[in-house]
Parts: sequence; structure tokens; C-alpha cells
Amino acid sequence: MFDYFKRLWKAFVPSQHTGEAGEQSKLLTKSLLDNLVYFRQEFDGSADLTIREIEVAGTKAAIITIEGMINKQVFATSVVNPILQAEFWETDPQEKYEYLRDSVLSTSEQVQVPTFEEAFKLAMSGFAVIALDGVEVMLAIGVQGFSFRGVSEPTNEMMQRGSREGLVEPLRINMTLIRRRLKNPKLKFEMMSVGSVSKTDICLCYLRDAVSSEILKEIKERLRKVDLETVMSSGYLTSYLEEKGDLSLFSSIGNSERPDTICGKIAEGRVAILVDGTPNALIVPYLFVEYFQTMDDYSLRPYYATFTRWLKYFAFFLATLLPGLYVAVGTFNPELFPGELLNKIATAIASTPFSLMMEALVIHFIYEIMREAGLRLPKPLGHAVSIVGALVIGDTAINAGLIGATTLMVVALTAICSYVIPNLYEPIAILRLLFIVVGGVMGVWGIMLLFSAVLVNICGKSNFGVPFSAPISPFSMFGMRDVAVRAGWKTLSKKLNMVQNMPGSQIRQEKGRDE
Amino acid sequence: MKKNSVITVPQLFGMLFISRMIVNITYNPFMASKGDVIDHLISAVIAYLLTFLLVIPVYLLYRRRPGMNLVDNAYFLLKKPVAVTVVAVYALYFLLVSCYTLSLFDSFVANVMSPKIPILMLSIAIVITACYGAFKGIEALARSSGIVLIGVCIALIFLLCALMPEIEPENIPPFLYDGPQSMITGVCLMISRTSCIPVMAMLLPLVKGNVKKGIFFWNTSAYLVIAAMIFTIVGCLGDYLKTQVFPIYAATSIAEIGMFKRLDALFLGIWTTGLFVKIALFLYLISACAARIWGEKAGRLTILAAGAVTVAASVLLVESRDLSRVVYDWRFLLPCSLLVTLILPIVLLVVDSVKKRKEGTGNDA
Repeated sequence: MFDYFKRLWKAFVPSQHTGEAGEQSKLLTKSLLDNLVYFRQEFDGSADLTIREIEVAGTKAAIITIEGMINKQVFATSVVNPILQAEFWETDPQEKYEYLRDSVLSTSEQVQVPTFEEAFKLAMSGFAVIALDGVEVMLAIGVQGFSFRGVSEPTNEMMQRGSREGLVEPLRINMTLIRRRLKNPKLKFEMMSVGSVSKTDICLCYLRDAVSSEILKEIKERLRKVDLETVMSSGYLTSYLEEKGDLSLFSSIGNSERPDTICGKIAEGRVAILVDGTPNALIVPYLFVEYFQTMDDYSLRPYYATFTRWLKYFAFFLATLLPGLYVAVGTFNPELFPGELLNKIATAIASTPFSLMMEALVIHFIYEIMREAGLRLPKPLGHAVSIVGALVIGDTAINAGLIGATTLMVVALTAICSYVIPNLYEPIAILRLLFIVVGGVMGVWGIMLLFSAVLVNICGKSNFGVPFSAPISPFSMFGMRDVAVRAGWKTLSKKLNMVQNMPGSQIRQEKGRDE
Repeated sequence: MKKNSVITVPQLFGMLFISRMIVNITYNPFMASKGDVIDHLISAVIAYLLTFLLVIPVYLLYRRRPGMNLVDNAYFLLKKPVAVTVVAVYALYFLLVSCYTLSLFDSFVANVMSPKIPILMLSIAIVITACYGAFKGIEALARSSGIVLIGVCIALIFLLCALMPEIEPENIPPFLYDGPQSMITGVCLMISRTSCIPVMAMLLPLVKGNVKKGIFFWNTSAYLVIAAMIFTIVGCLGDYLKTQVFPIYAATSIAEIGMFKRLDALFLGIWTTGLFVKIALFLYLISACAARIWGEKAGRLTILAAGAVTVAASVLLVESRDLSRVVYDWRFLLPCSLLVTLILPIVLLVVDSVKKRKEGTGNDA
């Protein structure tokens, strides 16, 4: 009964979110006047809509552009001047349009537009849309020239040796940055649009002979289900790409600002998703071990890369567990500390008014507040915050006997450790807090139990049928060449470790399949 | 994307090895007999061979219908009320094992550690974590136990290496000095604490790989560790062993290698994570049994109910000496273990053979 009413309601009330497939786009008409009226109506006198009405050999015409989105010089030399200087022998508007399209305009990017929807989208993407009276299509010419930030070094993924190029905001430039590194016709860019209001362009990048068609299909399906009105950054899409009901602290959606990293991931069968207006790409599926891999690992000598890899694993455990263990052992099993250290800790505890857990929590919170303040402030002020935080608050708090020096040192050490794996900062910060609380309430047993719960959380997670914890568990010896060690290029280049072939993967192993 | 739960042979037997180790480290001479513990080395050899015999019915049942676990077989071969009874027996057995395991840990904490937190709170925390593990499913548990297993193995090797120099040859008495009674009791105790075969009966259909090889390596490694533990604690502790409720813990607290001292912390770490794996596994199996009777949703709810019962029963066992004396006694555990390990699988095999024969006769007619 309820379903019947639900269907009835759906039949009468159109959906609020008009997806790409279900959209009924209005067709252009032959009358230029009607088309322009509709355009003006839809933009409702918006200040940036520019409609220049001209005459082409006796036929009324109009060039529609959006202020600030086009390169005016290119627009004048490639569109306006050729149209105005051209000689037309044709009398029929349709023939004039075809002559204009095929012989007058010399730009490489031309799109014939049959609907208003498409005309709006292209005009707002920096195209000049030409409309002729008596022709029921428009011609969009690519003269994009909006201002954007130039290609520069990615600030969040610095590298010692290697490219200094990072992604930028415009989608097309990011596509060229990837194409320049993978000069292979199998590299495919597939455009989609998300956000019923923002109509944000997104682009799926993959190698047709490397990607699993099942993963690709699933990604497209999940992206089609995005029911957001606006998509302002790639982060908006991550929750739609994760498995349904996934409440894990760790994300199985990777993120990178580096085109070289993205190309490496694409070559291993992953799909990169570029979002217009965002200078980083989403990478799916993503594994837990990938958080510990950086582009530098592959430029450095294998023995040193292996050493830094293990340093990162160690830093992860230290950043997550050290304050919790310190609180647990200090509170419940102080006998486990070596004698001299125990004396110092005991003296510090006796001279401060708070318990170890409270001390660690307070320092942790103060540190997080200062970090947030430092992130959002302008750089010069950020330095001031660091000085006030580190020197003034830290030193004064110890001298005043509010907190113990050992606790401050432990939290400071773990804070530095968490920056060794910057992409894992968020889960580490939350877990550190939880471990402190559990360690303070239940001691080492609590730490071990929470550790087990986190372990089962990581191991139980999979995305697009690929286990998040692979290739550690389920184990693959082949996968260890880039996890336990960073093997030399002679070994790594022999055979790529495709993501769909990870142990425990639900995806059928397939090769060389095109869409 | 359809998801099928599949685990590998090393993952299954890794889980079973951890489950076995968690019981092994609670090895207690009072539970066995008043005789010499060294006789339990012979018991370990006999129990090792007997375990291979005990696996046969479950393995044969699995070979007949590789896609069905024991409870599916019960539903397939028996009338519904009988099948429900069989499933309920298995669910109760799994509940008994999880209560037994947690209560051993609780009694250790209460008697040896004198903790600053209440036992009830600790039990609740362990069971909540285990419930979470059971909710995440068998794949998540199997993968986690793969990582826990590495830790357990490293810690065991480390502890054994640390204890080796402490072994005094004069602490080791001759075998069967006080007669065979201690050896026989040891065999009964070891067999009664083998709860892994019913687990195999439930999980083998989900396993990918060579099961025979897995059984061999699991059983051999488990009994090798038992033997090594018995030899080490007897050699290290001597007569002091007879005064200890948890001799393996007592041995680890005196062990040291270079700068590494107080290895009892390591021992506790292994025990807690292993305990999590074992209780989560058994809660999962209880939910699988409940799901077979009442459906998937009820199966998931059963995890919480079974968790609550586990906490209550384990705390009760620690509090009540009379009750714990009964439950920890091999005379109580052995019949329960034999019922689910040997008797019920044999009954199902016989019913299956009879049915097949009848079908064969019917077809001939």
C-alpha cells in the first residue's frame, strides 16, 4: 500500500535532482529571438552574460559569452574578426551556418550544440556560442581564457628528486599533465558531470588495458548516484565512493596532487578521478599500505627507500600508541619503566595537579588547537602561533608545575611522528586520543583491546572488492617487494602488481579488456 | 558487486593455532593431576595422534558435501526438529568454550595481577571488542588473525629463547616415575580442550586451499608448542611449578634477554589479542548457528546476547569456586568436546550413508 502511494507521488512530483541521464533538455529553436529571450530569462539579467548581436550577410546572429571566462584576444582574432570579414554567397541561413562552421572559423575546438542545456554549460565553460537566426543549432567555439593558478610545486607532497609539477584547479590542464606522462592511446579520459546545481565536470582517467571493467563499472555507478546539489571539491565525492555503511576512520579513497603519482597508480589498474576546481585527484581503489608509499621511495636507492619505509611504519605505531601506552603503563604498571626513568616520571607526577591521562589529554587538545590555528592563519601569524605555543605555553606550563616535562615530550614526539605520514594525520589524531582515554581507564589491556578493534576494522574493510589490508593480510609474497622492502627497479619492472589481482580480491582477473 | 566470504587455509589454521595457544598458556598442573607434569610430554604425543583421528569424521563429512558446513548437513540429512537440536548443541558448545576461555583469563587477572580495575569491567571490554570482531565477519577476523599470528609466533619464540638458559637439567624428573596416571589425565585434558575441530566443521566450506596440509601443519605446530612449553616450564620452575596456578606466566616473569626484562608484559599482550580473536571467532560461530535457525538478522542479534552470557558466566565462574571446579575439570569438558567433535559428525555420516543406500536401493527397484 505504502509503495503504491510512493509510486503515485513519484509519478506526479518530478525529482529535485536531475541527473545526467534523466534530464529532459530543451531543444533550441530556429528563431534567434526566442533563443536569446530564453537565454536572458534563464540568466535573469546576470551581469556576466554578454550577448553581442551582429548581422552575418543579412542574417541576424548573436555571439554569447560569459565575461571573464574567455580570452578576449583569441575571441577577437579567431571568432569576431573572421565572421565580420567573411564574404558569404549563400542566402539560406543553414548554408551560411555550415559555411561559417567549415570555412570561416579556424579554431580547433568546435562543438555543435542542439540544446539549451549544453549551450549554457559550454558558455559557462569559456566557449563562445554563436547563434544564427533560422538555424536550430548553435556553434560553440573554444576560446577559454579564464585566469587560474599556474602549475607549481605541490605543497602537500614535496619531493626531493623528481618532478616539481602539481595539479592545478582547471580540469583540462590536469588532463594534459597526466597525458604528458602517459603517452599511450590506451589512456582514456572520460567526462561526467555531478551536482544538480553546480554541474561540476569530473573526469575518470584510466588505462583501458590495465583497469578492471568491473571496478570501472562500479565507480561509474556510484558516481551516477551522487545526489548532491553542489560539488565544490573532490572531498564531496569520497563518501559516495566508499562502501555503503563504512564507518571506518581510514579511507580507502586515495588522494594525490602529483601527476607522476597518479600515473603510477593508473598503470597499476587504478582509476583517478579529477574534479574541476580541485588541485588533487581521487584514486580508487586505495590500499592501507599505499599511505606509506611516496614518490620519493622510487627515486631513492632501494636500501634507503626500504629504511624510510620502515621508519614510516614505526612512526605510525609511535604516533598512534605511544601516548596511550605511556599513560597506561604510568598509571597501572609503573614497575615496567626502567628504575631511573620511573623516578623522573614519579617526581613529575607528584609535582603536577593532574593525572597522567588528564595531562596527556590537555596537551593533546592544546596542540590540536594550535595546529588548527596555524593552518588557517596567514603564514607570518602562523609562525607567531608556533612560537607562542611551543615556547611560551609549553615552557611556562612546565615551569608552573601544571604539566610534566615527560608527558609534554611524549606528546610532542608523537606529533612529529604523525607528520611522517601526512595522509594518515586525521585517523592518527583520533586514534591517539582514544588510546589515551582507554589507556588511562583500562591500562595496557585497554590498549591491546582497542588495538585489536582497529586491526579488525582495517582488515574488515574492502572497497570495490579489493581488501584494504592487502597484500599484508591476505598475504602475498609478490606484494611484499613494495611493502616490506622497496625492491630495485629490475625486480619491480618485471611485472606490475595490479590492484584487482591483490590476494583476496573479489574481482575476476582479467587482462587486455577494453570498454 | 556481490561479495562472497572466502578465507584461505593458512588464515583458518592461523585462527585455530591462536585459539589453541590461548588455552595452552593457561596450562595448569592442578587441572591435570598431582603427578609429574613432565609425563604430559608423552600425553602431548598421544593427544597429537588422537587429534588426527578425531578430525576424520568432520573431514569426511566435508568431503561428501564441500559446500555445506556441519549445521547445513544436519538440516539436509535430519528432520527439522532434530536438526535444530543439533545446531543448538553446537551453539551451546561454542558458548561454553567462550565462557571457559574468558573465565580462565578473568581468574588469572583476579588471582595473579590484582588489577586496579574491576574484573567485570575488563570482561565487558573484552566481549564488546569481540562482538565488534564477530560483527565484522569471518573474513575480517581471519585477516586480523593473520597479523596477530605473526605477533604470537615472534613473542613465543622470544619467550622460549629467553627461558632456555633458565632450564636446569636436575629439574627434569624421569618419565612415568609415579605411574601412568598423570599421563592419562594429561591426554584427557588436552583432548577435552581441543575446541578447534567443531570450528573446522563450521568453517571448512568457506576455505580455499589444501585442507589436509593445513590440518597437518596446525596440529603438528600446536603440539610442538605445547611440548616445548611443558618442557620449558618443568625445566625452569622445577618443584616451584607445583605451587603456581599459572606456571607459564610465572616462567615469563623471570625471563630476560639482555636489556629486555619483565617479559610478562609481552605474555599479557599475546593473551589479550589472542583472547579477542578466539572469543570473536566463537561468537561468530554462535551467530552462524542462530542464523541457521532464525535467519540472518537474528543471527547478528545473537552475537550481543551470547556476549552478555559470556560476561555473566565468566564472572560467575571466577566468583564461584565450586562451579569453576566442575567446569575446569576435564571430566566435564571431555564428554562435551567428544559429543561435538566425534559423536554428532559420525551420526551425520551414518545417516548420510543409510540415506544413500536407500536411494540406491530405490533406484535399482
